[in-house]
Amino acid sequence: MVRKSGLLLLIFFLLALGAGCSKRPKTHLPDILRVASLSNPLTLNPLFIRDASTAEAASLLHPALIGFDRDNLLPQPRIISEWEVSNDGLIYLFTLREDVFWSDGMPLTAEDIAFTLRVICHRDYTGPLYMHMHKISGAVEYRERHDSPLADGSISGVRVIDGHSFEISLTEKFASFLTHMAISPLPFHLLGSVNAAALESHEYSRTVTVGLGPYLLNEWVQDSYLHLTANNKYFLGKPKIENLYLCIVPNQETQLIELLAGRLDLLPTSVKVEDIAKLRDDPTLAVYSHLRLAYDYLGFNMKKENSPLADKRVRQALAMTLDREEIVANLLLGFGQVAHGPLSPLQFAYNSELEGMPFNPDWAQSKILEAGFGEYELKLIYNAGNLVRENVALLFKERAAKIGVKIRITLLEWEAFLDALHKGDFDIIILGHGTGVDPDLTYYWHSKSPGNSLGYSNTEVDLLLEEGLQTGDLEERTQIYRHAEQLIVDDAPLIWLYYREAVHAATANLKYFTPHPVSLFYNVHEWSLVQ
Amino acid sequence: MKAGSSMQKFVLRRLAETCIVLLGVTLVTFLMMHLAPGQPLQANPELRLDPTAVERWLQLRELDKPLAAQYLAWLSRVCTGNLGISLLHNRPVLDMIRERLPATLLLTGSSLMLGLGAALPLGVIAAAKEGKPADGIIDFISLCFISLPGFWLGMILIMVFSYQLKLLPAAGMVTPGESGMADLFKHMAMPVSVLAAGTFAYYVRYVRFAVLEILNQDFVRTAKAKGVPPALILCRHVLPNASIPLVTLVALSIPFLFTGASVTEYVFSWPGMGRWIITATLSRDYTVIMAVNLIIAVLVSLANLSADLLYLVFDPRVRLRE
Amino acid sequence: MRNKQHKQIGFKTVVGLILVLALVSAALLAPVLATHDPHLIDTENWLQPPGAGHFFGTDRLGRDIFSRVLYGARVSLAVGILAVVLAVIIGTVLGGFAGYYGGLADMAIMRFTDVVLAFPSLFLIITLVALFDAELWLVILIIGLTGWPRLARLVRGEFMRLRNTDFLVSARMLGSSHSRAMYYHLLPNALGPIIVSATLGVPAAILAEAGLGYFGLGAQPPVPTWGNMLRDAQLYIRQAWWYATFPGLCIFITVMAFNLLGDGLRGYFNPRQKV
Repeated sequence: MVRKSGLLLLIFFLLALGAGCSKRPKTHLPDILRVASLSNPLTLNPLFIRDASTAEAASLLHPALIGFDRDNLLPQPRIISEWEVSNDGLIYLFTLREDVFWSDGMPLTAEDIAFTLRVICHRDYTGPLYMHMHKISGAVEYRERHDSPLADGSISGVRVIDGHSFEISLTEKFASFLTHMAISPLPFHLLGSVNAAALESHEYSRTVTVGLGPYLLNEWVQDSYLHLTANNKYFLGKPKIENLYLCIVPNQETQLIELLAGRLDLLPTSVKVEDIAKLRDDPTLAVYSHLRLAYDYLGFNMKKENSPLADKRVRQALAMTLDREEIVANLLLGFGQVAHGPLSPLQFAYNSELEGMPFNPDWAQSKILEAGFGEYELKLIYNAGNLVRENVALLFKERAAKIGVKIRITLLEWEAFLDALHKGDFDIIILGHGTGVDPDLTYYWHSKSPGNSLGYSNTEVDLLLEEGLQTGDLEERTQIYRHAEQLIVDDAPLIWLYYREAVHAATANLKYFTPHPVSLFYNVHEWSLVQ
Repeated sequence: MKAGSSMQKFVLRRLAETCIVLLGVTLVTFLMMHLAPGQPLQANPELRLDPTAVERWLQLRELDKPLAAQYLAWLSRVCTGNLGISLLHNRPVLDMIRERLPATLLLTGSSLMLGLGAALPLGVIAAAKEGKPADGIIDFISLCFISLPGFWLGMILIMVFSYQLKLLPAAGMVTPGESGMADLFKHMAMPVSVLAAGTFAYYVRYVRFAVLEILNQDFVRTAKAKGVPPALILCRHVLPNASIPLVTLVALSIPFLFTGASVTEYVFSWPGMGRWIITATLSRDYTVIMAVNLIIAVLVSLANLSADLLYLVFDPRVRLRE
Repeated sequence: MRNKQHKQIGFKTVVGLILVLALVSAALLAPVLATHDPHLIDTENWLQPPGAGHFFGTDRLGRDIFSRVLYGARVSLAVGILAVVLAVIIGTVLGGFAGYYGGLADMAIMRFTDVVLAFPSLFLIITLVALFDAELWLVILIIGLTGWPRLARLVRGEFMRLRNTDFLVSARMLGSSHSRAMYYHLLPNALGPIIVSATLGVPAAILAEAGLGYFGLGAQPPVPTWGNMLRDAQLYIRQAWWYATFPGLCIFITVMAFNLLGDGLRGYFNPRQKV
């Protein structure tokens, strides 16, 4: 008797153990979604976002005023429901939706927007957004002369008409202005009396007590996870998934292991291309991918004295030693596209017929000999933490050696890397450019732009870029930017490498997940989990 | 010579020396930070950020003042108990430490207990069976554990237990949305094992040595010769005498409780001090680094002081000498 | 009375010595023993499992792991040994001075030692290497600079102990200068503990170097080090078990070898000395 029951107990125990060790344990109720994140967000204040990871987390709590069309990235109404631009392109009249409410019940008004703009233009604002707003008339004066530590008073070019409409005047025509209005507003009734210098460290940046977004912050266990709950006042409708957890797992491989074990539901952007084949085979998982709004490149430092890179032939030769198709095929495993110029395939002005540098090592070798390269050793710097770029560096060094160019590669961790970039302490650099939604190339390519770290200068291009902002007509702008692009490419200031695809992996139970190039969580309120 | 007052003198002198050491540590850290390339806030060129905002940011945090002024300002703040505001997170460093310290203490504390708990009996056995196979096996195991790189062991464990067997979670301290001890234990199992292996290997050798020293004393050998059972020898003679050097050793390990788990935390994505310090260092978060280094230096000094005091109290031969 | 004063070379010393010599030889003979050029990139053969062509398989760029491990041995052993040599030199000099002269010199040197010891070593190493964008020689310098305090304390202790022995006092009376006294009389006697400490310091240095490589610091790619190979490998532990296993195993065996040797030597020099 005892033996029999003992045996039964043992069998039961083994069965239970076996069941426990089964493939993907189904543990989730339909209302919990666990999303992985590679790092702890630095802040949840939408005006002080300086890195991609923080931006993703913040986008769940703060929606942008303007949306963007999925296919051509043209501005679309979101919180701003309509806009009218005057004929001379200097005055924008914006109308807000009337059904947008803060989570404490107060309505979103034009005063909130005006307040947000004042913060951005305030002397003590140290976030990244002022650069786009300085063409608002009165912005520069506000920044230089507004004495009060508070973001009070008014900017002369920002006029609140009534609760839901306001007008912005610009000092000059600025065709891409609308895209820069895709900011998220701060609540004036909550933060209006806080000094601008104290806003970044204000507890609002950690607790977001009052928000507009699809989710509200319930709990933030630092370095561990953020617990977000659905906002039933969200203007596009309450999200179907009640609880969203942003789980901080700083390692891509670990994230994948957790996904396979069922402890995570969505891996945004951080899926390695090497894992995709296996993920696709798994019926419990789904893989999504789309082009990113950024390309990687090998940049030449043209500000250095007596650099052999000043000779265009050398630059062109180096561009021809790299088989970028090979990189996309073997390093990106096909999840990417070769880049030939600075415009993104997702932008409306993209020129699919642009001819970049061909892959031709023989021709490259002859050009190098022609230019008389000599014994110079080029210093290439790249940053730690990006596996594809690290591999490109190694590959490039080897291929360049084949045409007789010596390259010393230096792996730097991020801060030291940026430091070297700013000091110009390099010959070649591997980095990326974010292309943004608008084809305006000013930030990286205009000779006077602070973002032009390579020292590129071409007066014809400068004029074209200025012209491109003077007209709102899409056809005209397309022609202008394509022309500028061709000139830039002919100058060979860098080697465009590829546009990577962002690859996401999620449980197959997640429905209606449609990643948008601008933001992963664009339609998070429509997502749902099925059994 | 009154023992009391010379003890006082000793402690006072040590405290004075400690202050010098702390000053030295903070000064060296400060210089390292500011002489090294890199800055806490640099515009990420990929994100099209505003490079000119950095200037104002530095101004508001007084990072543009001369170095000497900055150091003195920091010093005076610290003397009033203000450890500063994290440059990266814009929050008081003390708050951030309070959030992350418990997680680290959980790991290091558990591994200390586990390691010590295993080292004590095994060390005693090794000493008692000196020269015999049992001693050799324990010695070999401890040698293996000391030679294993922690991050490698961690990787292997994750591969086996998280990926192959899907038994244990590979990251974090808790499963978001779940609570309870079972969940916590599952998360702790691997990192604590990795750390405990190291602490065990470290302590077992000391225990063995301490016990051997005692076993070779005349009075113990006499007791053995007289036929006193080994268990009694253990309780009456060995353990009390061995506990003093052991307690001293534990006192010296106090700093380990706070920083010993850095690499393990990194491998297992554990939300503790170690991972945070590494990130802060790489991001040039000066205030955090200064504060943390100071705290560690204080702990090390305290640990040394308490270890020396224990020796003074229990071992008269060492008293009052350098 | 039962003190085994006679020095005997134990089992550990022998095994340790053999292993260390084998490893050093393998490292020195890397160009001969390697089956491939460790830098040769073959992007089509990425992450191949161990097989006939590649004993340890290939990495993400198709490079042969066996050859890279051999060359990695050079870096690890070079850093380990040279860093320790540096630490020994600095530690012996400073510790000797402190122990011999005592007084103010002793106090100053000991406080300096305390400052260095107050930093947790791995943290200090990582900080310095990260901040100063270290080349290999700088890595050796930094690891050496964090390792000398323990040795200094040891030497100081020995010198203090031996300072007042009879033969030294008589040597001084006979006119021996300070440096002669230190160099000819004290140092040889302290040599035993120094050698033991040095041998046992190599594992720490090797592990420190591996740790640096693991964090992406230290030796520059494409130079293979066991640490940076593990760093690359950790992203592929699921699909390429060999990538993480072999470099890690090598670190383990090397460190073990030096620990065995050091342990054995300790038994040889001081049969009953403190651990």
